[in-house]
Amino acid sequence: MKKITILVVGLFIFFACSNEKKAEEKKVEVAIQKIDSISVDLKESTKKLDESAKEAMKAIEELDNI
Amino acid sequence: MLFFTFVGFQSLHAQGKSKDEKVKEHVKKGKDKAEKMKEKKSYSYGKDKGEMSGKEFGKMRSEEAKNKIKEKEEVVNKSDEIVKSGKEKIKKAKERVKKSVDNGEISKEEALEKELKIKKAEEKINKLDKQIKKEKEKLKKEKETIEKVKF
Repeated sequence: MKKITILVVGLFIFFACSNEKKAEEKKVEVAIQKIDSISVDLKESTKKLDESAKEAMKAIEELDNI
Repeated sequence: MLFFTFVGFQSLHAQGKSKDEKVKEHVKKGKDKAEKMKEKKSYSYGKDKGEMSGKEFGKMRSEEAKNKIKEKEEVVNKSDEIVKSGKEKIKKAKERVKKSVDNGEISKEEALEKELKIKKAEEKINKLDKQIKKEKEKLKKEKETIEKVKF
């Protein structure tokens, strides 16, 4: 009886720990996905801004000839 | 009798064939699904990534994002400078054109052509200015979000 109780308690602790680990993993996964989506957006918006800046620079350079 | 047996056999054979096809299709679908699941599993960021733990991997991604923020800040500052110098140049170009027209150095057509160029440059500068303001707001929010996430 004592052995069974120890086994059940052990199993309970094991499952509780694995559930906690899974929840932690999920939390980290969500955070990384959030960061990744921001990274993608940062890359795209930087590229677009750089292109617009180059275009504006070109248009300004033309003003030197006026 | 023979005819009916023949027709019956044919229909049974056809059914069998279609059943076989269905089974094959089902198996194929299952394989596709399994492959997709495998692909999805490899993207589970929270789990260990080779020698890196999920948290370490997250920290690495966070640092990468922070570097991208720095890059964007540099581009924003550079664009800001372009807008400032552009506005100054537009102002000067407008003055030059006006002076030339007043002194009769250029014709009306030439003046119009130059004004058109100035207008185009002005539009591009204004567009860039708006974009910078928008991106600054966005950058602020993105920075806050990344700093909030802790591993």
